[in-house]
Amino acid sequence: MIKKILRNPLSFAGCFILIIFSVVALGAPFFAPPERPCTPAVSYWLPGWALSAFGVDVSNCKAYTIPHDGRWPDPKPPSDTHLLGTTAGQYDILYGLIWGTRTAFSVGIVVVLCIASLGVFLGSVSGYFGRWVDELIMRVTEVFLSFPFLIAAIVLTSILGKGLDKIMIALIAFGWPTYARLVRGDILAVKEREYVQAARATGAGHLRIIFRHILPNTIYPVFVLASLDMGAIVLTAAALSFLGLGSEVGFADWGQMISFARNFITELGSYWWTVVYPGLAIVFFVLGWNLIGDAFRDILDPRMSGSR
Amino acid sequence: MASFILRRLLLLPLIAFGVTLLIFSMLQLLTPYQRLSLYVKDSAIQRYTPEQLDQLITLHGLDKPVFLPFQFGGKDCSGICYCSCTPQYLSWLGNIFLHGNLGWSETDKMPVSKALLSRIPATAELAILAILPLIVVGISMGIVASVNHNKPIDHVTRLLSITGYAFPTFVFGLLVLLIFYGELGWFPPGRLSNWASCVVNNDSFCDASHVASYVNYTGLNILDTLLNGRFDIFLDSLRHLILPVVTLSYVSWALIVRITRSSMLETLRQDYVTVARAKGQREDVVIRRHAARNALIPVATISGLVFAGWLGGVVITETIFNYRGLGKFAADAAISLDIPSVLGFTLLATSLLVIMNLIVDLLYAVIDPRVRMD
Repeated sequence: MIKKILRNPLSFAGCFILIIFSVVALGAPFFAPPERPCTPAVSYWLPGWALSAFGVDVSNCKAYTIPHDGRWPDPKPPSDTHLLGTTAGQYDILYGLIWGTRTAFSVGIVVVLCIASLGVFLGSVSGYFGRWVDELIMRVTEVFLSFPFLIAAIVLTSILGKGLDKIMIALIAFGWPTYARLVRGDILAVKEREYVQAARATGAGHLRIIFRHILPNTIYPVFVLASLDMGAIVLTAAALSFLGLGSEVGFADWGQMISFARNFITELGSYWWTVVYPGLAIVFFVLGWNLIGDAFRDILDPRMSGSR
Repeated sequence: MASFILRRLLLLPLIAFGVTLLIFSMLQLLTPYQRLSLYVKDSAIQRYTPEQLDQLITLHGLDKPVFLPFQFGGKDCSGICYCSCTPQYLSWLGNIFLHGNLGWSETDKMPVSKALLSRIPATAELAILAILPLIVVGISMGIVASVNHNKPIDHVTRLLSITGYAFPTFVFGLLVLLIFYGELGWFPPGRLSNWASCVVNNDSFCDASHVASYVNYTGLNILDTLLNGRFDIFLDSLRHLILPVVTLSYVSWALIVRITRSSMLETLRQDYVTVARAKGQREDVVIRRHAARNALIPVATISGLVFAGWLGGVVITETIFNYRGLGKFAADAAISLDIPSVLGFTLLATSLLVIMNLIVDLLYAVIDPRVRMD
């Protein structure tokens, strides 16, 4: 499978893009050391809440806060001290992009893991047990699906109060239905197969049948959707940040950095770097995941084999 | 057929019920005081003592769970609340069914129904202009790519469509705005230039010679200007429409190309296509008559999806281009938690979505006679 991915130029490009982003994300403390180094060094690698649970003091670690050089409101063009220029308020764009890579990965991974497992769980329960359970879960799914996703996310984020964590909660709350519907359909197709009946005849319990016999045969489309969603979710989170629902000004988050641009739309031509660099970061990140997702789909969907 | 349509339309109120109930359930995350503040005029609340606030909360049942009944507020225009204060689900429903009133939109400072009606033409204009080039160009590019499978033109189309899929609406919108407005100054944001909107709105502050000579027949500027014989305003409105239309269609265009291409590739390998070729049919006839017709079936389904995507797409697009349509209305209302407006928009969007999906399913049966409606 890995060989297949690397043979196709497009999916190879996807891998390449994501590897670069991963290197940037992992090496953020080296590429863009914060003004005041974080101590202990472990706080670069683990999330703050996990460390404080172990009694490590992380209050001094401000790695995700972009350093700003004065407070002058007009962005400054790329120069020797600020390689990619600064945004309004003199936040360094390069620093924000590098630490923003970490933000993007963690938003994508956390949200997609949550919505995929929630969706797979609800979808398999619904498809496997059928009848009123199915009816109930599917009607709820339908309601969630007919709610315009972006508006739903905006409303929930504003209710919870602004911030990236609130955006993530909102995306999780409204992201699972696609997975539930996908998994349910596949389970309906598989659950009457002979090997499931054989498992049932040997006295296996419901959970064992679902997780050992049915899900392994229906999970691949979920992987495809999840890899495509990694891009889409980061994109939606960025859009919400752009609308002004993201974290406080200066937090290393790509959408938040672009949202500065809304304040000087009439002079955008003279401040192009504030849009172009964070924009390119988002586009390439999403592109990488889409290329990988496409490759997954081609490989996992046997009907398409030979067409590429 | 008729019973199929009827059954689907009967589902609509159920879904609308569920979606609006969901919004009210989300509001339960707020404290009663926060919920009250969403409905009370800012200046009025300053003068209230804590006891009076508590009274208001009990009066409207804001401390009760969403599904419990409460005292019905009805037409409360007493100056405490925005006109017809309906902070509980049943009072909101009652207000619709008893008074036909969707509530007051703080975003537009007018009743929600009026606000929605006044915003629909702007978005309709955008959508109508975006859909035609989208389908024509998208489908033909998909077909061209699949016919030239694995040739350079196929690779270019694939790359373009995948990039389009990865391009966030707001980044694309800002980039085109940066180039065509910031640098070149060709296409400004907004819906009309100042002088033109003066004429269209019959604004009394404007040059008296224009006033009252302009009639709004449909609210669609591109149509009305032609009916009024104002070609200058027609051009002005086109100038404002081009960038949002391009932005809105670009992302969906990528999707259409992708689906058309992969569906065509599958169809071209079918036996009946080989048979048609073996009979000595000309290649373009084979593609047009035998392959494309069948390959477009999934595209019809996807267009429903594209439409659903647009409900979100217009929100971002209109915000960037400062285009006063439904999307900007929804975004402004949702961000400031103007709940009656959000509810009104959601009802409209959900109904559109359900009806659109119904139309797609019916279309499906027309294109593909094998599909039976039952």
